[in-house]
Amino acid sequence: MRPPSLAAWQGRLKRYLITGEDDPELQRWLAGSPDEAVLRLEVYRNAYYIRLEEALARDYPVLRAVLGDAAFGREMARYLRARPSASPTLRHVGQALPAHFEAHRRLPVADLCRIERAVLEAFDAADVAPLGAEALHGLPPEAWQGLRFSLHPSVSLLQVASNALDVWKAFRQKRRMPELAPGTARSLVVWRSPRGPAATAVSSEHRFFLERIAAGEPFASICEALWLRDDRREVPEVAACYLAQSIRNGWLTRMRTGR
Amino acid sequence: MAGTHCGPHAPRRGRDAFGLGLRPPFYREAMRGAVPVGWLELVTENFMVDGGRALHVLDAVREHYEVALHGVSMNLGGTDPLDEGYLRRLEALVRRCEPVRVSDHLCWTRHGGHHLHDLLPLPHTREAVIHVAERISRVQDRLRRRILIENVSSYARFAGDEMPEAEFLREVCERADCLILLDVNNVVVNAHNHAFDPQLYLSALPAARIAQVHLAGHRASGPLRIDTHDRPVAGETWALYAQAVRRFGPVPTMIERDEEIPPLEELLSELDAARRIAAQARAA
Ligand SMILES: [Fe+2]
Repeated sequence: MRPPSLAAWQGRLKRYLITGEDDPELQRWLAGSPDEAVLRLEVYRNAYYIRLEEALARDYPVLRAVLGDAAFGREMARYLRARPSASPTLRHVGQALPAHFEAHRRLPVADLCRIERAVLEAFDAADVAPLGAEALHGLPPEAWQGLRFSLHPSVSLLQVASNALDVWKAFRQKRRMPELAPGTARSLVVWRSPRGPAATAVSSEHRFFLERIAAGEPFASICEALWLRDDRREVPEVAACYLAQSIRNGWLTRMRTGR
Repeated sequence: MAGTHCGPHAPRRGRDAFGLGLRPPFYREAMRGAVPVGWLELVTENFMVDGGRALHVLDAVREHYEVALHGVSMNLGGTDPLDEGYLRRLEALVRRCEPVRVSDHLCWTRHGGHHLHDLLPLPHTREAVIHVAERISRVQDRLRRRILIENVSSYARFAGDEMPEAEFLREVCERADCLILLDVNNVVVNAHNHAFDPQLYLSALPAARIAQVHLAGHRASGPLRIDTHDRPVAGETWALYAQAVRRFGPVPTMIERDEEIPPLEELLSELDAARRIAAQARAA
């Protein structure tokens, strides 16, 4: 028996691991009896599933608690078949889980996954000093027009249409979790606070404000855009309030002045 | 490619040659310098992040210890192109922590862009020797240092293998001019799973290239031994380790424990056993 080429062996073993379907060609390539080959290949197949499911359970503890162990295991097996890992880092195995549940129209579950994903990403985000409250002190009035900021790398802006945030918070605070259910649209900010990962709901207007910040727009044009959204608002006061709250929470970094 | 690599690639054999694999339960102690070992091995991928806790841990640990970087997904045996992004991140990490050794495995981990997160076996063929050695050389040129290649535990062998495992490892390392991270437990596991003599295995290896040793525990599962890293080092592994020390001299040695991690004191006393066995073996 000639040994398989590297590419043939790797392609077939990969397919076997991902689909879980037996492959007689693989068995033929191995030394020993066919029964023995089956047993040896199964060691790899079982290890593959166990390792990846464990990683997903570590990264999505709230999802696991919501679904229960058995359903979680079934869902993760389905997910791993549909979207094999695309990253060398085990922590990224669950990267596509929100998209997976979205594709299956399980939107509240997808919302919860997005929150858990954002928490993980916040954990590993770059260390950049957040802007302190003193940053704005003594700024001449004419400087305000051209102020620009960046969002802190740990900040994610999410939009959900469920009570996923309440479920996540209840789990974190070891309270009884409400049942995960569809709900009204809410804007969320997930970030790394000095005390660990944090998530909060913000108004859609505040979210809009943060999106413009992230896009690198100067403060004056963000105020203008806010005014265009709702010309009855006291825009400068509202914008100053969003700015102050964002700075207090450590969501902003890198203030630049000038055009 | 021989002799073209510079940098701190030679194993430092001063002071304490015994180390441990850094795992989350010991982060705090390691960050204070309170783990009485000579060096610590870090799983490379866990520190390939932009920031946050991992890099904070890394910098603090580095204040007290020399570190070795041990990767699990360079995919040296794969047929997908080497991952540029991965190598860039590895380079940055090497710059940041100036490790005494950089290692990965003699295996493949990815195919067609999909990562399998396991150390998968290669056929022991000329084709594989040439393929893997060429990739190792490219990584070494890129990092401008020699890397260490570890022998992996395996559960499958090919009917048409052209050479035994030890010869395969030797051929690859000589061709690439790289060093060897000898996992003694993996030799014990494979000797059992593929019915070869572990002592002959050791004697087939090029002594001058052995730059680090791994020790770990494994389990029996039916007719096979499985490399689980979830229990103390087995008696057979200690015995083979003593022979490795006699043959290869005092090589930096560490214990890997990834599951059922006991209190640190327990691992340290296991590491003391390694020190004792190494000292006895050298005296003999
Ligand atoms: Fe090892």
